[in-house]
Amino acid sequence: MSKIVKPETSGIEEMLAAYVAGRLSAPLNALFAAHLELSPVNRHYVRALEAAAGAALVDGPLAPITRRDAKLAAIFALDAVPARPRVVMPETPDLLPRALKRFLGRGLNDISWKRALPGVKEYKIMEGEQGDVSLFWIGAGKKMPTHTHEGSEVTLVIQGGFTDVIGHYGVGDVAIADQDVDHRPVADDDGEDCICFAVADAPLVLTGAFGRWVEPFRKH
Amino acid sequence: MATDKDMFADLVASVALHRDRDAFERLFDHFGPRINAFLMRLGTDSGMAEEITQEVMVTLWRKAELFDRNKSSVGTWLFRIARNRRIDLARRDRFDDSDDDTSSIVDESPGPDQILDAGRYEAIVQSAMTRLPDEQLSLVRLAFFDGLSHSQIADETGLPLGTVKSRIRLAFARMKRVLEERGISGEI
Repeated sequence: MSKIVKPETSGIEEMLAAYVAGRLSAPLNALFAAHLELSPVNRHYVRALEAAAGAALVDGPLAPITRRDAKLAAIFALDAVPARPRVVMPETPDLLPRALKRFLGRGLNDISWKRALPGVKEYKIMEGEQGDVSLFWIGAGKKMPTHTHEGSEVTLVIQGGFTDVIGHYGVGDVAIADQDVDHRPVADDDGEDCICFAVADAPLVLTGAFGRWVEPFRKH
Repeated sequence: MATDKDMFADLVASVALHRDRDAFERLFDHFGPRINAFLMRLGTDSGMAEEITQEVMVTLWRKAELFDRNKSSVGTWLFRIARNRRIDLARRDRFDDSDDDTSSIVDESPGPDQILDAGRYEAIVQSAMTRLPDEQLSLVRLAFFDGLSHSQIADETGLPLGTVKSRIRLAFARMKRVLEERGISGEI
């Protein structure tokens, strides 16, 4: 059976550092940008790392620019864009943080969910090299099937909350499960369904009787 | 005496107010090659890196008035524009999304509710880094500033990959704790 170890750190600090450095894949980049929108807890840390990265840029190594004069001339030929009052488009109220909306190219209202399990709906955004990227809609009090991962799985809570072997996660929280964690997230049973954005860097490998039964249906 | 930081901020202000070409050239010559190098460290090929660098410089020329010296240094502002632009382009390839969304250029991401002076962030990060054990600090430098992957760091240092991974993970967690002890905490 799998071991359940509460790690010293989930690794979120390192992932945020990679976010700051611009090293995350597009889905994870969107996930952490959305985390920062929803939750204040890591904003100072991110700002501080950005300040350090900016300072390092000032004294950083150089890679010469070719055709410097032509490039400058091209820029000077452009007019300045006068600062204009930002036009705020009336947005349809939508639960999705802006960063996720931009990544998906649509809001929550325009998503066609597919039933994945009883009480669980899924919207698959992409599969492949960038990982498996999905939105999950888990009915209040419902369980996800037990599963482990071939790689890590990073999950952002957008609405509601869930609990796994590591702890409880509410709106804006990020759960990071590596391949050692055999977890079984359970959505809070408080009447509010849980909506999550999940990025798994390898296909989920379902475990347990229910999982084995379900798995063939996940691969199509 | 004015610091470099003030000098760069003054140059940006001069571009914003007077379309000052000399000021712009100095910024271009200082930051252009450095942004280009940063993008290439991220694996962007040289042609694309120069293209993105040029876009960042165009943004600096056309939108200099959006820079706020109280919120960030010029280096940090340009760093973020370059980073976000690169990510946007990667995203566009994938989804063939042709909308010209400039929101990545303007910093709309939420900052801390209580913004600290840009210089203070830098000072605090630096002092937090000095409190890391040497073995962790050197790995943080390689990972964060030099942009090496875990396996590149393992090759370079001769440490086992697992050790590299766990030390880096702990080092960043510790950095955050030190920042919090210094009064930079996320929960306001």
